Amino acid sequence: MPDASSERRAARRARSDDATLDDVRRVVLGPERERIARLEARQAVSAASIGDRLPEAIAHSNAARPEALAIALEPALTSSVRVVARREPQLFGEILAPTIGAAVRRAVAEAMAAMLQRFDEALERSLSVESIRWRLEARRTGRPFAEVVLLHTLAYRVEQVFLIHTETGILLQHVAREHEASASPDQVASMLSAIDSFSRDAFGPLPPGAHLRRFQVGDLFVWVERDSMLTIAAVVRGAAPESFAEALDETRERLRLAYAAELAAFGHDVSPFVATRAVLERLLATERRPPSRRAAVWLAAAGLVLLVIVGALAAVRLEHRADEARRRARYIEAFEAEPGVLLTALDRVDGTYRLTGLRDPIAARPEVIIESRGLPAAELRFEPFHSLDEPIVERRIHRALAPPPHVTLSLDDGTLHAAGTAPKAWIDRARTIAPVLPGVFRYDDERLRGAPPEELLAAAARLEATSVPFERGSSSIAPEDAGALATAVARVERFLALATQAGLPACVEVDGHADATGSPAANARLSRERASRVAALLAEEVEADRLRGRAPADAGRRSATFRAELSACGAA
Amino acid sequence: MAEKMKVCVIGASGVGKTSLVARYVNSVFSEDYLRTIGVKIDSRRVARGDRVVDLILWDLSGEDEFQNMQPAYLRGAAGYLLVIDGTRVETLDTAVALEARARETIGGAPFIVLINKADLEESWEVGPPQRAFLTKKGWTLIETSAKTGQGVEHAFHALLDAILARRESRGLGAG
Repeated sequence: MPDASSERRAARRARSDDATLDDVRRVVLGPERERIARLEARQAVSAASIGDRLPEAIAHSNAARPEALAIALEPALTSSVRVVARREPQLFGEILAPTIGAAVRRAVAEAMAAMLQRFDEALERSLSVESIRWRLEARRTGRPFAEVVLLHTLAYRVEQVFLIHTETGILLQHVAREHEASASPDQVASMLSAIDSFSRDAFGPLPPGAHLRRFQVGDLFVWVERDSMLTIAAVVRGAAPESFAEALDETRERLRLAYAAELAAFGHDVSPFVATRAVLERLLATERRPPSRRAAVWLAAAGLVLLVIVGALAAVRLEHRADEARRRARYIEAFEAEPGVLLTALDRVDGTYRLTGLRDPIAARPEVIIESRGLPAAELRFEPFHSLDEPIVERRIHRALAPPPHVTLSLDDGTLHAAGTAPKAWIDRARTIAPVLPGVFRYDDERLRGAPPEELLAAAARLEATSVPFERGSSSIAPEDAGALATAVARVERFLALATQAGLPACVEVDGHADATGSPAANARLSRERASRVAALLAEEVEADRLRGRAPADAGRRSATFRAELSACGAA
Repeated sequence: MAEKMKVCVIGASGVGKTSLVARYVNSVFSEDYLRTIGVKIDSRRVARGDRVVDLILWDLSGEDEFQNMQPAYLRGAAGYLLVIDGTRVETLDTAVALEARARETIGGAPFIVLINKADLEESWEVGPPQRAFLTKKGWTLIETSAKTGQGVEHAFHALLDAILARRESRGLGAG
């Protein structure tokens, strides 16, 4: 059992040991202990002092690097808002209520505006040459027309965004528009990385940080922004403005800050980067090009062409109408000028003219009238009638009466005058027919004489060819010439008988002739004697008042000749 | 967990790298890239146990007297396959040189040596002494044939396993 003195000794030794340890500590850990003491003191101060200086610190940071501060605070603020929204939804609703109505109205207005704009564009382009080309392209490529229009009216459209781990070329995240994704985004990302390495090696040496920033394939542009950790690449259809590069780089910077820890520790696991999707999707923007002035010009041109066409059509129509009116006038004029035809209606039926009216059977035929005027053939509906047009009445008279050559007919105010000579039979027939002919109200044939019948004229001719010879220097007829005398008597009788039969006056002149021998006085006497001799002989057979002897002063043969006149002997 | 790994395939010209990769994946890109920019990229999703890994394969153009492998293409690789033509012993020397270059670029990343053209074993020049030399260096050797497909899947999976094992061990070490 230990005694008290030994306990005290032990206690002393222990104290002495503690002192020694303390000394050793002071010697070995002196500076560190002081530093720890300083740090402890400072930590106590800084909790309060940071609180005091936080507003100034934030204000300073906001002024110096506003974006960096915003990016750094964003996760904390987002979490806070999320917590509040979850914990106190009512409060959140109260805060949002005044703004939500306006937001909805604005969204609806924007959607309406976008729809109207698309409708506008569709209308503006619907008439252009471009639209025809695009329709052909749509048919050729089998794409919907709307898609072709969209592609051509795009200023640019971001179709894919790749977020790539720079060192490994491994794809961390990939977003794409529907139907626009690459076949294998992982391989594309690595290939982009390989091409970047290749181009730097191929064209080096290059300054640090230099990299492949942009390349073009057809109307696709690939924009790349990168640093040593993170590469962001966007596949853009069309030409985006330079500011797009800034937006791309800003996104990269934002993600770099937000995922600094994950990037530093990156091995193979890409799951921490799933949340970058929302940020990358914001880059999938579409900018549309306003319709070009050319479209407006085309529209105006198309309008003008349309106007010209409408004008031309109107002119053609007017011309057609004028043409029609002219043609109608020509029909009317043609029928008005034609006697014995009356046009009562002129219609157009199924593109052809129909002419209705009245026609005297002896007037010109309507089809002949049309043809002679060079007018188009027409459907003709003409009823017969008796025209009182003077030319038709005259024609009718001539047709009905068929006047012989020596008869002249004239119509004067409804009175038909006949003059000249005509066979009695004709005269009698005319007297029957003429007064009943339409258009003839009175018939006058006072100046018409009966014409000698052919037989009479033949008898006259035969008589005038007859001569009776005489002996030289005598007015006696030799017995051997008695036959000639008998012939002459018979012919005179025949002529006069026929004249009587025809109801015509007649006169036979007997001309005595002497030959050239002898004195003229003696010859004249001899001629008279010879005429008288024959006349006397004739008077025994026919009425003496129908005979007349003459002695014309001419030198001829020793004979008597005859002239047959269809007039009374005293009338000459 | 979604994992992606960059894996390179390197070796002398004509050892059959591209044929090996073609055995393993369905290619999207043309082999012309190999001749133009010196690399062709393929990918394949592989399941190992309960993990699914997307392998991004960088088939680097063959190393020969006319063409050098671009070390930049190795950067960031999680591991690689080093291909030797079993019928040409000189491709082993190239492989040794390439391994040294790879070590400079990506440090001690896991790799597997493939002795290709196993179908032509009768004309092999890479015999037991050469194999012993490689094994002594601690290298893992797998015989493959792009022609018959022998060992191809196994080789890729062995590399993937090596990479995952290394990552596990590093993870434990760090913990």
